[in-house]
Amino acid sequence: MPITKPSTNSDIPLIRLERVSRFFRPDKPALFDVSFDIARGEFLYITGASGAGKSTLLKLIHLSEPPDTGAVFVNGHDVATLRAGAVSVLRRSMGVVFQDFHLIGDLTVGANIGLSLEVLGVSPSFIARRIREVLAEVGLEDMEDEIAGSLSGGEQQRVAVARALAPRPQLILADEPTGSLDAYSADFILDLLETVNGNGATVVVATHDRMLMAARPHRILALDAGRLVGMSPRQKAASGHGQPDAGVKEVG
Amino acid sequence: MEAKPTGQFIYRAAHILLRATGGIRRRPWLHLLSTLTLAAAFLSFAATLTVARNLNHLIDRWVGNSEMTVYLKDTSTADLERLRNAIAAIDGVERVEVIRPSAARQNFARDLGAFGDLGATLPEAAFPASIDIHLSRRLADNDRERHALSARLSKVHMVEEVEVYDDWFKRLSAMSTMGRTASWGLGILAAIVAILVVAATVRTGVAARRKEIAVLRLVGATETYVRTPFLIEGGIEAAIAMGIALFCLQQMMNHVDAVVGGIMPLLGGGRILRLESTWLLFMVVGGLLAGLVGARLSLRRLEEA
Repeated sequence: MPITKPSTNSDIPLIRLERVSRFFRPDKPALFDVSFDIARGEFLYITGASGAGKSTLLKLIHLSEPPDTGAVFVNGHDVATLRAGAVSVLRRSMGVVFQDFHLIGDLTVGANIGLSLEVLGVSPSFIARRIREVLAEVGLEDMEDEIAGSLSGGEQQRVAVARALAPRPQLILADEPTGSLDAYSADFILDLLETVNGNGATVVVATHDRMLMAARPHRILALDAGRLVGMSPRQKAASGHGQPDAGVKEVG
Repeated sequence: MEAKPTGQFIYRAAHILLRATGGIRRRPWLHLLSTLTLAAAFLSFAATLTVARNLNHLIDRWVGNSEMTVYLKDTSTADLERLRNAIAAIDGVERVEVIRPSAARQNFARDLGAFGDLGATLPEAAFPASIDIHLSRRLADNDRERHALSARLSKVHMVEEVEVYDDWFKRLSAMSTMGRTASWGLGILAAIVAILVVAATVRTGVAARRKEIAVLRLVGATETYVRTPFLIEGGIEAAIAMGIALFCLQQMMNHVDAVVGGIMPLLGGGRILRLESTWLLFMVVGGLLAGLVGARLSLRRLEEA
């Protein structure tokens, strides 16, 4: 089975972490003995205070960093057994959004979005069409030729989301996507992520914003000092829409 | 969403090429400066190579004319023929050519090039008959045997003088060796300069595009996809620099030809030689490779990024 193709076996989670630890200092783990699954189509919050390990966890899921111990499985494949090229291919099925946007300030909006499409090896005409489509989805239809660095924070985050959505990924990873935005822009971004989730993509959002999680309830995974300290039960339908959260229960 | 494998390869190659040329377009002055620096280094190498080639050619012409010339006193045709036959029969003599006074005068006028008319005004009597002796390589390279033959011929009563060209050979050989060494030295220096300049330029590009590289990796670009544009950038820059250097060299050679081309025959060198097309191709490819090596070196830092 190609590593980027969804498994036909619905029992296989999209992402599985088994007893994963990551150390930047021997005495202070960034993550310690973390295990959980992310089902297909799920909307998941990863929460915790600053330094709890949220970003490290996202990097492990995105395969940007390897675990020091334990295993990460994507589509049932142990990523430790994959070659570097295969890891790159796997990343193409993931869209990433960061608090600080990670846009190239001196490139146009279109060129920034095009980056995630170029690596797929698709034609320039397809890229141009898809950029227009995705810009319409994020409400920036007329901004294709604007220089990304000249946009407001909210607009830049929309461009970042557009870049993440452009290749139609199976999984969206968002690290504090609303952290530097005003309430209106934050709402817009969350609406977008929920819409994408409603269309079948799995969405993982790292956030410390309790109000956000309360306003848009989904499954929550809580970290503290690198340890998994709580996990709310998975909702019935993993489409992510609307079910009130059953509350976070302690684990471990 | 990905295209078919063949299409993917073509489109990725096109995107990589666009990324490489885009890198040059985004920092035109930096690339122009480094290209001109490279062109200057390549030009000094190519010019020295051209000088060395012409020196070699000069030596070949001298050596190719004859390894020994026997100048004769006033001699009858019959004696001249006998002496010619006798020399031709000597072991190690490959060919013998009799130069009569009229032919000697013509050769002199030809060798004067633009001043040929001057030679034509001199009387034939000013040009003694001579015999050019072409030796086998074994004998030509053996100083002792060559001088022994010269001494033997000097004792013949009709021989005025035997010229073995030792001084000329030694001087020209020394100059040729110097020219060859200088061209090799400058070639190596030019390659080092190319590698360092391209490495510095590409390193600047990598630093300026660090964020772009990070984003490319985030969206699933392979290391090959990330690095290849920088390699192409370095290769293109060095190849263009070599092209500029060779164009300048051609212009310089045109100028040199116009100024000293007429008196070159005086030096026995005939026309001024230029680098052959195979050499030009070799140098452009060499420049390209030096650029690739320079870019590759600068990309080592990407591994740490």
